[in-house]
Amino acid sequence: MNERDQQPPHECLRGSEGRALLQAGEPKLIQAGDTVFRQGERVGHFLVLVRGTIELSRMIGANQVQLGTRGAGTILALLAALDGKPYAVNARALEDCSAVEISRDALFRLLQPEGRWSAALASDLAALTSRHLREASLALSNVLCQALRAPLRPGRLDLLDLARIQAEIHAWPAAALAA
Amino acid sequence: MTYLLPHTQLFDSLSEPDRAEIVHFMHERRYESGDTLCTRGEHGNTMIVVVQGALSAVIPGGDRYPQEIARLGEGGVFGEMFCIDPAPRPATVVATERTTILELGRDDLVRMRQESPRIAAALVNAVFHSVLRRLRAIENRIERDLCAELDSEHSDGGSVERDDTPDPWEQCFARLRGSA
Repeated sequence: MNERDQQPPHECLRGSEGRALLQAGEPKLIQAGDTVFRQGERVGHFLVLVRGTIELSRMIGANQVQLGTRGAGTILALLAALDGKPYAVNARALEDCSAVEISRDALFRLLQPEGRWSAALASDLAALTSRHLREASLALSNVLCQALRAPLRPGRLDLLDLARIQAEIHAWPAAALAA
Repeated sequence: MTYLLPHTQLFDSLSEPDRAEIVHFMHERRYESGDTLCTRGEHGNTMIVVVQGALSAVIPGGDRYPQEIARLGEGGVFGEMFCIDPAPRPATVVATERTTILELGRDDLVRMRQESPRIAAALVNAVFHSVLRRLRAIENRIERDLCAELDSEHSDGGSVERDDTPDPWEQCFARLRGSA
């Protein structure tokens, strides 16, 4: 196993490619209480949270359910920005926040194979995505196993657990980007 | 080597010359029927393409007997994420007949980035695309499960809008194909 293989989780985007990503975006100030993304909304951009705290929630049936908070370094809505599908959770600022807003087109430009940062950036984003894929797969299989073993309601899934996994898919920690 | 990478979803965004170039960075390996390529839990840092033959991916079943979870034939690709993000192998992979593969390791990808940066970038972009698709598939599964559970509880909905909007990644990769 070489040194790069031992890269700790979420330490991607630490180098010049991370800076290039941030420089491709526009600074954005978000006031406490503002909604950053809405459940069901289509987005053409994603956010890197530089300072402050965001709360995630979503509607489950008629109830608004809290799914946790995220701090500096979180990447919000990358998946939705890239594939054009609706964002699955609500993200609201709990305090005044600063962020960098990066458009889908700006990311595509950076990823063009002829681009200076293309391989490094795509590699880091693929590694981040891959880790979230593995974590989400494991978490989902745990929820399914728990449902099968549940003594009272066997086979019934825990909706809150599912929604939390979903929130993880839509708000990624990438601590290096907060530096 | 005279192999050409197969027309799978992973390599579709790459031009034929690019796919031929990538092969120069890969290693050919041959296995007899019954040989094990990798074992569940061991460290993996390579992507594997089946050139000829067939592979079976197995995990321990409930009764401790191996349970097949995937079968790969000619042109099949597995572990594309591992050459970028090494991790324990999720399954044991066994050759079910005489099989030839091409393998690309993390170090090979590093060398490719130094010697053929544009092609390395195209390949890594393709892997990124593939992993994003899988993550979206998991997300879709969760959304379906949430909706199904709510329906079964006779709730009044609240599901997220779904549709068949064209994937902008496809448009992006179409552009990349055009520029290759």
